[in-house]
Amino acid sequence: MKLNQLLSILLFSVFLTSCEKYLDVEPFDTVSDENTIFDKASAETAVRGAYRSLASSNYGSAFQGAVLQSGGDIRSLNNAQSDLNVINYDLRSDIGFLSTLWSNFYNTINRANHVIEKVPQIEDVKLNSGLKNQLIGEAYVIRALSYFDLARLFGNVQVFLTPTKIVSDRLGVKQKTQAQVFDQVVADLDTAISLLPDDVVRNRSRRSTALALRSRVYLYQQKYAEAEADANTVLSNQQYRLMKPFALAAGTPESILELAYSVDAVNAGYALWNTSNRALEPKASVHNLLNDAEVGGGRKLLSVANNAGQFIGGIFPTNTASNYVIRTAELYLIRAEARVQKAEPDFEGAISDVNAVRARAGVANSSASTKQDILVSIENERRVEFALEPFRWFDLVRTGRAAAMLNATNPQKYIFPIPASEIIADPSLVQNPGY
Amino acid sequence: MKKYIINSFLILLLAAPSIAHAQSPQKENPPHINSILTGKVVDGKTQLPLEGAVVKIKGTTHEVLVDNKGDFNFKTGQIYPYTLVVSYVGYETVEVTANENSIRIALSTQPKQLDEVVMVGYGSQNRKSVVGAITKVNAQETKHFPVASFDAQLQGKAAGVQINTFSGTPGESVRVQVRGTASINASNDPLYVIDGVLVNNNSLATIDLGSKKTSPLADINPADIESIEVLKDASAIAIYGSRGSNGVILVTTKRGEYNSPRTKYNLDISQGWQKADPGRLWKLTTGAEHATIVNEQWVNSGLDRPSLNQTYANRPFRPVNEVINGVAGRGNPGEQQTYDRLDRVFRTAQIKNYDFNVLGGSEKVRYNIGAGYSNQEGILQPARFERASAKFNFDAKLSSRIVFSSSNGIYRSFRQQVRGGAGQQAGHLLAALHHPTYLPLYNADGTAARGSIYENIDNLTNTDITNISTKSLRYIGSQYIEVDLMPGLKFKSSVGLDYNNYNESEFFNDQTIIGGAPNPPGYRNDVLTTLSVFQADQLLSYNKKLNGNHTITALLGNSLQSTNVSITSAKGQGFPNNSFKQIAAASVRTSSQNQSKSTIASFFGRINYNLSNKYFFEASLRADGSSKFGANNKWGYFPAAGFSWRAKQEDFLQDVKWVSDLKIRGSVGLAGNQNGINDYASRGLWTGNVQYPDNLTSGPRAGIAPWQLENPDLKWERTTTYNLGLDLGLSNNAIFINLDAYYKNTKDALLFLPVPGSTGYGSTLSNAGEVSNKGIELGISTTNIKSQAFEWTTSFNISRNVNRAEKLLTPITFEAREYRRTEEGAALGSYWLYKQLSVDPQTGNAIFDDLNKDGKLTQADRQLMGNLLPDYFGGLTNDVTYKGVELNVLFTYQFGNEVFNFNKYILEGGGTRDASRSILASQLDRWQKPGDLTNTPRVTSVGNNYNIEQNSRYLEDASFVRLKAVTLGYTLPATLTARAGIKKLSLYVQGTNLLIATKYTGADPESSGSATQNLDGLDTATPPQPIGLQVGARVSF
Repeated sequence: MKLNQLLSILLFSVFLTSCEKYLDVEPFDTVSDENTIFDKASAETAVRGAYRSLASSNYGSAFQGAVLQSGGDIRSLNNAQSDLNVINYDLRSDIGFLSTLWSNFYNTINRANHVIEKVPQIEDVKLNSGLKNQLIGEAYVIRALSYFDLARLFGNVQVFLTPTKIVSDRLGVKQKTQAQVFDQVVADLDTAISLLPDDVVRNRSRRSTALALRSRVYLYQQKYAEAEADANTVLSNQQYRLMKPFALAAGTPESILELAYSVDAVNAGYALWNTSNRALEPKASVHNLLNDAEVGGGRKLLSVANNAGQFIGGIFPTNTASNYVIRTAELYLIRAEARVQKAEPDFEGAISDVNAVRARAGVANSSASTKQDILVSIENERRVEFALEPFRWFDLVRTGRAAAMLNATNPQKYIFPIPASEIIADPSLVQNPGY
Repeated sequence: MKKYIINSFLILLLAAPSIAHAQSPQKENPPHINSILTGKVVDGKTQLPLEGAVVKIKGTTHEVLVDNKGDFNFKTGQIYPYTLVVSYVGYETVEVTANENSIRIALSTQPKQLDEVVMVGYGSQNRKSVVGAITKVNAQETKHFPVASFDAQLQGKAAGVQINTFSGTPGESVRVQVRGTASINASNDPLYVIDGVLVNNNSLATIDLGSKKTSPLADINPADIESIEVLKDASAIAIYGSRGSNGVILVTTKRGEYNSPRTKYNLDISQGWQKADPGRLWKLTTGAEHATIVNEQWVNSGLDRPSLNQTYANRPFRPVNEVINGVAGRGNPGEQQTYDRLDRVFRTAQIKNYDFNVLGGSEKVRYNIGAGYSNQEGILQPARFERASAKFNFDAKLSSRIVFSSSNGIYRSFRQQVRGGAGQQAGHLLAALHHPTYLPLYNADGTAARGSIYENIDNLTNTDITNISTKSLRYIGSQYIEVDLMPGLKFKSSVGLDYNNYNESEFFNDQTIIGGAPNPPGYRNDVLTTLSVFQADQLLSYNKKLNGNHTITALLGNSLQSTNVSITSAKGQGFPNNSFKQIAAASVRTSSQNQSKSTIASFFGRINYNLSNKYFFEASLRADGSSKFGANNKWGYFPAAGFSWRAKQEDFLQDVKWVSDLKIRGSVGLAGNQNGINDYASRGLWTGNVQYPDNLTSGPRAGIAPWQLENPDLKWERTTTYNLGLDLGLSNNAIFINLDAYYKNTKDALLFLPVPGSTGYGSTLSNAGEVSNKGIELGISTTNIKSQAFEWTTSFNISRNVNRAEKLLTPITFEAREYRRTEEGAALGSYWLYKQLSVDPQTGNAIFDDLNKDGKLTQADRQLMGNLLPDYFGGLTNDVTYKGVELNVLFTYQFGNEVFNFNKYILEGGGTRDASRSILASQLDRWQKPGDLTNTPRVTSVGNNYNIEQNSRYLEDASFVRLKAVTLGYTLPATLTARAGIKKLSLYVQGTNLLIATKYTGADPESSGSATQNLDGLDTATPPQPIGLQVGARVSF
């Protein structure tokens, strides 16, 4: 038995000492939570990570598919059951893409929150205050944009301004109303405007980007004078102007914020429209408008009929083409609407903004002169100008025209239901009325 | 007894010529020899000689070995009559009285429950002394079944083991569950141990196969396997600690024998044919019927919702010359052609199999050398599975105290793969099945047409155009040295390696959706995955018999295992033309590489105590440390204890003749599970794969983002198992019954808890659930008729498992569409559906169960219905032998499970999918006019008739009884074959999947599986298990 004991003692002593080391295996291709944002390089990479999510998640195919189909001018070629739910304005809370949308926005928000919380604490000589402010400001814009879209889609959502550390922090937090969320969005943009530099970078956010977005939010808040003022500031910069003839805006002065893609992170929108395998098609109604020389003009390139009689949406020429978030033309049309609606209306200024957009598409000036006519001409202009961008549904809901134009008569359906899976995960979430 | 006498008489008659022949030499015997006995020992059934059998004269030490002709002879001082004791491994020992100088002795095979050796964790035991619930499957019974992997061959053979083959494509994954589902998010696969190596059972497939995965076990040649043991209860599995709770499948490969009287050569050849059962394949509408349904839906929808502007006048299938809004009509329904695509994708598949092995051994060395080749075509073109294997097992007694043992298997397999599942770019089967039948295969100009969202079927079956294939190289082996340190004490040190080199390649030329315009022309993606499992074990075992009645066996061991995975991929797009297929020729090239590692360190021990061969006690303990788990819970401890009582050995049962064996077993213990969990599951992680540019000209630059929340408390799932078993033999074991009842309670179940999306994380893995499984397993084997020439045996098993989520913080739903849901108090595997009660005969609208009576159909009306797990399952085997003829019939069955016929949901969409998908013929039963009684509602895109995805109408009973295999074999008389130098020649013909009885309307009630856990239970359409016929020959010389 002596040998037995000896052996076992030997075995156990040798292995026990080395065991803990043996079991400590560091990951190869991810880094652990403790050392993430701590110097200039890591601050820059974290901001890029937030942009990636903004580009690939927020504005992925789920968002575009749902909002474009809701707008009534685009149809799905998949004929999926959830598409029928969308076009009939009859969503149920357990339809899968809702939770995808919901989680995507919060994923981006969490990334932005990490930057907003951690970058100010970095002490690195290489990170000068200008760059530091820029990175923080960009994160504020990303967060603002995400909350804005979240509230446009779902109405009543929770607002979190710090990164997630443990799950329980996120449970049982009361939802804010859409108006309250918009206020938070404006607050974030105010901060961003104070932090961001004045140069022009079209695929990242700068001062003008934040101003342009705030101008859009003011329009939703019906703060027309403020909307006009922000639009004026942006459009006074000659780097943001309309270019004739009409062409896709990527990389030109027509682009205020465009999101970038690469072969490793492709634009999901491309697959929606691409010719051999497409999921979406412009309906004949909008195709005919775009191809009407008196309405679409140069914008006919957005919908091209092929030999088989199919309408091909032409917004993303390749799968790495940029995705537009804010274009110069939108600022003109925001200002036009603001000028009509503000306390002391400026119809002339409004119609000149509309005509600026029309002129660069090669379309004759609008003949509208009354308030009502100008508003309709703005609505029609937005319909063709943003035919393949997710605008029309939000526009018609915002202006109260969804019932008239889309036969969507139940206002409760103007916001999507809170995803059922989210209510299961956090039972304190309150479902939107009507669902 | 009477039968025996008659048989002996017959044998004597048969042997008469040899008796006569043997008489003359007797006269030359030297005087001190009182008798010379010559004789023959043969197998009672086959009459083949039993070489190596031992014949001993009772009461003496005189024994002889039987030679290779079955003959033996004694020259002895004994005087007739005397008693011979004849024994041979695997046969019942008999005593025969020798009266004269020639005798023929027929041995019959031993009922296997009695004295067989059973493999257990880190050792083997005699069946008598086994305490746990262990089912042994003899691989010889199943190895001819024409499926690629040995696990698929076990269906219906082992009680408590539910095995389902999802697909008729060879080499794809198989679901194996031992005693129910204990885990919700961690894997439910059992642990596979091959010759002591804990091997990888996770598919290494990374390319998109449409929710299909390959089976890593298909690498292993079933012909190499000697036996398979399924360890089920705590006393058997706890020694495998943190990985044992889903059951353990021990595979032992063939070895030679020491002192083998001769070298045995075996050759197995077979050829088979398989095809899909045409009666079970899907029936689709014709072009005209399809058009009629779509038109009807169009008009109905327009009536229901006028703003759709859908009228009879602008119906899609209207005369071609009616151009509306610039779009021409598609022609009236009657003008539509019908194109059969299923016919183009299914084929009669061929299967070829060759196995050769050499077994032998001398006093100090034994070996098994094997080689095998298998080529199996799938019934779905162009699927094919090919495997070449080499096996080398070698043992040597280096000295009287040291044994060296080496086990090695090298496997090369090739898979020509097919994609499964739905989606625009996917699905060899769905491209045929879901393509509307009215759409032509080819355009007028002769180019391949793609009218629907699917690829043209001929582009998929042609491997010059679409080619998805995998080459796998695998080595599984172990080497050990065992040293006798002192009497009873042995030390064994072993190293094991499971090396997987898995090379995938997919190519799509410029004619395809993936590789065609507007994408850059051509697409190729190659992925090389290597996975190596390295294992080092040190074992001390001790065996001591103490004064007569007490025997103690003890085991003490340590094991270290590390698993390393590395994945390297390269992708190319934009090839000059279709002749260029190498990524080097592509204009756009991307690549990726990543790596992952996990380690486990273990200590374990086991003590067995045997009292008087009546009472057996066993206790074991394992401590496992795993790198996967949280800093606070790296180590887990897994104890177990069991006993068995061989009641038959008690005096009071000695005289009860009809009870020939009785044993009662009981055990309790703890085992764990960590399979299927990410290597770094407990850590808070950030990912680096999120680049973004800094400006328009910078190009993408590196980015980081939060990826996973930290959970330092993450630990093993722990399953406590209680088992009570009974082994009962009746009337000389002609009836043998195994009965086991168990209760398994899984605590700290690993769950992907659905955390709120507002956290920014999809879900986090936590220990937050409790699941119970309780069940009964019954196995009955009977020898119905047994005579020397004729034998009929039956074995039957049935298992029942009831499972329940005992504790769950929140209900968990699975898959984006949430067809399945696990709720506290309900069974795992339940469906969560809107219940369609009926179709209103007046309106044709589907009526749903409004559970909360609020007049609306909302998520609150969904209910748990049905379950994908069966109430009962098992198999029935009948084996009849008459002389050299053997007939084996196997039925498998399961009852009480449901399948969501997802394929039917897609293809019975009431025409709302128009030109996107085909329509099943069953759609024609739709409601058309008031008074129609049907379950298929009026076709319309408005309302709930066809807009409810989770409609109970598509949930179907998937119970079945399948005639799995009928095998008829014939062994030629040895006298005939011996002249050609052949020891044994058997021929067989086998039919597989010949019949199935089921109410299920899809192609195969088993095809509801998915490689992605928790997507089981949805039949997305896979090729059914084919009807097969194969013929084969086995030659030994």
